[in-house]
Formats: sequence, C-alpha cells, structure tokens
Amino acid sequence: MFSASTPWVWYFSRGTGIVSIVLLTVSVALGIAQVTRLEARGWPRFVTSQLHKTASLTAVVFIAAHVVSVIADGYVNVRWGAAVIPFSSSYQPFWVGLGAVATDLLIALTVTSLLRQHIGARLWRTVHWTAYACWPVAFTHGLGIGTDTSLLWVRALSATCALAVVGAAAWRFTTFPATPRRPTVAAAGRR
Amino acid sequence: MAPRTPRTKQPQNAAHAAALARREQGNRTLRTATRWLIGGSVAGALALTGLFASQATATTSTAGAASAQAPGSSAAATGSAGAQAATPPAPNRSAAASASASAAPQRRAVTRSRAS
Repeated sequence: MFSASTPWVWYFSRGTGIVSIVLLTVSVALGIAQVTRLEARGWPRFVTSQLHKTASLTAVVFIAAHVVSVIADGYVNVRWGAAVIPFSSSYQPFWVGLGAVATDLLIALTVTSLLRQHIGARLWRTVHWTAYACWPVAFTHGLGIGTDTSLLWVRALSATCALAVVGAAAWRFTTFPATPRRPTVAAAGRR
Repeated sequence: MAPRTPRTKQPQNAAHAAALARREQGNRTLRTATRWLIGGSVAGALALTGLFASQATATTSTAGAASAQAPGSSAAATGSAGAQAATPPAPNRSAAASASASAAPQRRAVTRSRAS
C-alpha cells in the first residue's frame, strides 16, 4: 500500500503538529483547572497538577518532533534559526514566525517551571501568564499554515480545542478573577 | 550501607485511613490518565502519519489511473502518467488542490524546487 519513497517525515510532521495543538489544549485546560482548584470524587487536586505537567512536557516533546521533522524533511524551506527566531523564515515568514513565537514561549514556560524552586514564585507566575498567549499563537500558526486545515475533521478538532480553551478561560476569569493570595504571617497576626 | 526499604504509612485513625485511601485512588487515576495521555498522543501521531500517507497514495493512484484511461491519450502521455504515479506523491498534493488561491503559488513554487 505504501511505497518506500513515501515522504513519511512530512506526514509525521503534520501528524505531530495536530497532536501538539491537542496536547497544548489539554495542558491549558488542566492548568486552568489547577488554578481553580477543581477536584472531584476519585480525582484529587494533585492528579490535575501532575497531569498538567505531564501534558505540558509531552506537548514539548511533540512540538520538538514537529519542528525537527519539518526541518529535516526539507519540503518547505525552514531552517533551524527560523524555528526559534520569529519571522526570519524565507518560507511563509508570518505563519512560521507565529510558530517560532509559540515555541519560544513554550521554552520559557518549560524552563521557568523546571527552575521554579530557584527563580521564585513571582517570576514563575509572571512568565506563566504568557501561557495564555502561547496557545492562541500556536493555534493561529496551525490554522494559517497547516496543510490539513481544509479537512472537515481537522476543522472540527480545531473548533473543539478553541471551545475548550475559550470556555475554560472564560470560566476561570469570571469565577476566579484573581488568584487568592495566602495571608502573610503578619497579616494573620493582626486579625 | 543497607538498602533503603520503602516506608509504608500505617493509618493512625479512621480519618487518616480514608485520606490514604483517597490518595491511593488518586494515584491510580493519575497512572491511568498518564498512560492514556502519552499512549494516545503517540498512537494519534502515528495514526495520522499513516492516514496522510494512505490519502496521498490513494490520490496519486486515482490520478494516475484516470490519466492512463483517458480516451485518446497518446502512448507518450500514458507513459508520463505512469511515471508520475511511480514518483513519490507531493506531500500536500490534496491540500494544494483545495488551498486558497493566495497560498497556491507558493506551494507550487516549493513543489518545483523539490522536483529540481
């Protein structure tokens, strides 16, 4: 059915791109669920937290596979620098640039999360707010340059992802406008 | 140095036992969900890779057969259609056909550069 000369790497890059946006969606939704301290019977909060980390790291792996396979295949003229330096690609500079922006944001999110104990909660939280920008940038990159966006099931999947993130974000910002701060020792002593 | 043995928590009272049971249930849920998340992602990527490959193969085969069976086609045209079917399909051949007019020229330009 398949010939040996089938460009598997190109198909793999398209597949990993689609899976990456789904994983990013899951990661964002779980992150929002973690902020809102969502839990249920049989689903304690640490499950949400750990799954959020796992989904994020899995998304990083798949995005890395997506980037490497796109560059390695050579079908589109995207070089290594263009994968991290936004809008420097000679091929579709805007849409590839959005992918580079999303990649850079994801790298920053991952590094600061791994170094959270060393950099402090304030800096980590500040950088983590960019996660709300990372998802739409990656999503727009997929819509703009994706080879398979004309397929009905890809459109349905994209709409589902968008609904999930927009719905979760709307719920988070309407129900929990700001992260409740824990009272400091001094403030607690004044009560 | 003696090997460390895992410490097992013994419930101190009923509330503690319930908390340990909830934690254990959470751990089971976490293991299952992690397995599904990673396994599903890998399986999804591989399945999509196969799907795109099969779609491209089917598109190429159909196009090649249609060209070969076209009435009035010369031997040279039939030969070129056969040669085209034998070459690897363009990765986004199906998308190029349905892509917008603005994106199509760049796609075709890339295809030419690959062919050369």
